[in-house]
Amino acid sequence: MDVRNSFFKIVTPENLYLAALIFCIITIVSVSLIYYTLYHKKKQSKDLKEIDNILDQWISEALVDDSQEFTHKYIVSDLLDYLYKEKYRQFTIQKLINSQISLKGLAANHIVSLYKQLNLHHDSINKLHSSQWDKKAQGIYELYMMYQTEYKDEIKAETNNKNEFIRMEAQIGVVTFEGFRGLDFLNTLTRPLTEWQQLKILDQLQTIQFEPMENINSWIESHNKYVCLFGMRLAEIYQQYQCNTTIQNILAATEDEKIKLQAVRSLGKLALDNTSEILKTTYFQSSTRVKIEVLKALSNIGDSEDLLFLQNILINSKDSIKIEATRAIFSCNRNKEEVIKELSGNKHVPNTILDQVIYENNQ
Amino acid sequence: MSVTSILLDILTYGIFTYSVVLLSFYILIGFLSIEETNIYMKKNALTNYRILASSSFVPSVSILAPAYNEGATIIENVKSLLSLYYSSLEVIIINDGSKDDSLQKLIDAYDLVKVDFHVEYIIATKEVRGVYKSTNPVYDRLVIVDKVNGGKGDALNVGINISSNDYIVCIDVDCILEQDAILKMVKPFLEERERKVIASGGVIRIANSCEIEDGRLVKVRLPKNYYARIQSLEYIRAFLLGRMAWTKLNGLLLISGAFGAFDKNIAIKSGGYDVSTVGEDMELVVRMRRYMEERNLPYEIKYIPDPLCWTEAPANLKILSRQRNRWTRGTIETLKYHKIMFFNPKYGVLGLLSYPYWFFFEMLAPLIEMFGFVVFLILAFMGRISWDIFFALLCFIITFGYMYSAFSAYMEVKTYNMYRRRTDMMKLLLTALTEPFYFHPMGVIAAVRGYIDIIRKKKSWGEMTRQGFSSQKKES
Repeated sequence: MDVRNSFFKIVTPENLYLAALIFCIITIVSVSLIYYTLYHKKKQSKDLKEIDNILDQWISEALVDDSQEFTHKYIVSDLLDYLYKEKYRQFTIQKLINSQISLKGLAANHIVSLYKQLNLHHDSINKLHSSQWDKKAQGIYELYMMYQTEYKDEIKAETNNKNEFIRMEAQIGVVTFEGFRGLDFLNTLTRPLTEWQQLKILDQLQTIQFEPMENINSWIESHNKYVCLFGMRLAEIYQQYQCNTTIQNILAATEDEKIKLQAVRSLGKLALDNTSEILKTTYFQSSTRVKIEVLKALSNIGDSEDLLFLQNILINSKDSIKIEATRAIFSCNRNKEEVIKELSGNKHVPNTILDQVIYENNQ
Repeated sequence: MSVTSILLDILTYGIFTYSVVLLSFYILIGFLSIEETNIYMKKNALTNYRILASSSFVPSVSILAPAYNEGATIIENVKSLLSLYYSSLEVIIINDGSKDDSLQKLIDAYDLVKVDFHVEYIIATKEVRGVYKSTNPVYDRLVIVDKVNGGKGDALNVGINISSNDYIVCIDVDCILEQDAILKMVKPFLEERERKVIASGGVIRIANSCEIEDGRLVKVRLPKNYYARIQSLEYIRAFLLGRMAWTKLNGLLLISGAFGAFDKNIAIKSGGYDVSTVGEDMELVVRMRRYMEERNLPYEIKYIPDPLCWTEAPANLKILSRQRNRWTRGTIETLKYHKIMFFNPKYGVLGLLSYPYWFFFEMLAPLIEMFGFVVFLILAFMGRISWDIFFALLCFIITFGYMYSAFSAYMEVKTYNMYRRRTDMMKLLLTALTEPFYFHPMGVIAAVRGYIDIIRKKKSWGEMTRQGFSSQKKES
């Protein structure tokens, strides 16, 4: 009875109506906020459109002007009227960055000059010194996108920051400023370098003139798994044959599937005389995924001496392995007619696999 | 106290406790989603997806799109998929034994020829009749698979068997994807660190009344149709609030079959899609999670709040009811298959929170509501209803619903703001007012029918007629 009484003491119509009233108030507040936000965004979008137009006009003039003093001639006075608001300054910075990405040479320099002329770099610097991770990361981004090299050292100090977003931007920053020499942050990196970050750095490196990476072997030998993986990837992409032995050693020592996969992939592109033998040894101690990668690598680097190995693994293997092995046999043997004849009589190779590989070779 | 009074008390306290726990969950979901979405937006503010999607370093991805009797729209749908912005993409369309001329239309439109292709049945499926590729190099991303009809799950399993990449994106063929959708979906896998990312889900939005040109969404509009409009609100609540909150807790059980990315290796190890359920999308996610939990492998499932995928929602009550009926059956079947996890601490958040939540508040909710309604009618007939407390409770629950809808609409405006016109937002909010009196009861009835169909062992998907986007364009 006590429970019943106390329940009906709390759950009275009055209390329920009171709660409903509170919900109504929150609903009204939410609806008001919706309309306020819509109004605010609409108003803002008008201003932003205006800023956008001014900048587009300015940029189109900058594109055709080859004078070094361009920005001084065209002071964007209309723009200054808007820049009292942080939001609009931020929009302007972003717009300049986006334009600068697609431009080169003098026009790009004009944009950087305008960024400084409008004192927008002060915003970026303030963000760089912010205690909020997202602001700091953004500040770094803006400074490297606008080639503010005087902040290089400050940015470099953040390449091993415990916050991954600050760290990521700082790493791309040093690569932007210093090119391949900027990769030296890998010497001291103790934190993860995700595949996403690797992708961003590789993409950035593509725009830069190649320079030798003196420490690449030490990166591959790094205790940081991510640095090791990235080092091998760099070796593969930039054909760093001097890394072959180091990668072979890593492959022999590791149990980590990701490292094994990358090592096999890299060796497939950086083959020396003994690489095929190393890969074949690896094959027998590996998972299916690594085995398939080994076969793909042998397709690239194998020759007639590998045929016996490949024919042997056709026996009692999974279909996915048989397909790769058949592809590798085709690649290792120059006489395709001979291969087809030989494999046609091989009871371990289903006709459908052979037909598929023949089709692929004819494409 | 009489037996009737005791029963009434149990009923009153039971339903009240149930409601309080449910509302508390909603409040928790609201708070968690704010945090998760906020972090997501900050983290992605500096990424230029357009540039990276064209990079040669992005991992290769296979899109798997099953098609059954989609002849009316298949050419446009495939065109849309082929135009996606991603440098290394394989688009696999699985013709699941269509009775119409889908395959012939594809052959004619994309210069397809049957090729020699060895299908390894890693996951057992119905027979593959043939694999087709285009002779036109422009369509070299395209692979068409023709197979014996076996249902959506079976078709997706064929896609998994055939795909040549480590990441698969499973979608409904008639969905319209944003241009950078694939990279955004793959990103969580590339950000993986200690915990393996086994799947990522994308937000689905309603495309009814939107302007679509050449398979691309060019203008977002609020649906004119009532059913589609209210589903827009429902999807905002479910995706922007619900799934983001469950992602924060790493307790997500459902990635919509319309758009989800998976680690192919884990999907295969878990056994692929279950062809015996109509809720194959949820079942796969639960099984993949269970696979990881049972092996003590650290893992996570991610959700992307960006509106990436646009789909046509059922625009009439009949089709909507069939859809809800199927969803209910799918939920019941999935939870039944994995009942071992129910309050099982061995499964962590999955067993102690996600599964019980789905069991009590997704699976049982329609039954409890229907039961409550029937009891209410009986008691009203017997004159045992305390009308003052009844109206107060009704008011309490309805205003809570309005508050939640208004809050989700605010979250939408604050974040992605897809419906920018004030009149659109007004229409959306006004539609929300009708929800407790019409849309919600209809949903409950459809779900109860799902229970009845489960008892009758009905397994069919139910015809899901769609209007198609080309006709919508003409309309708009």
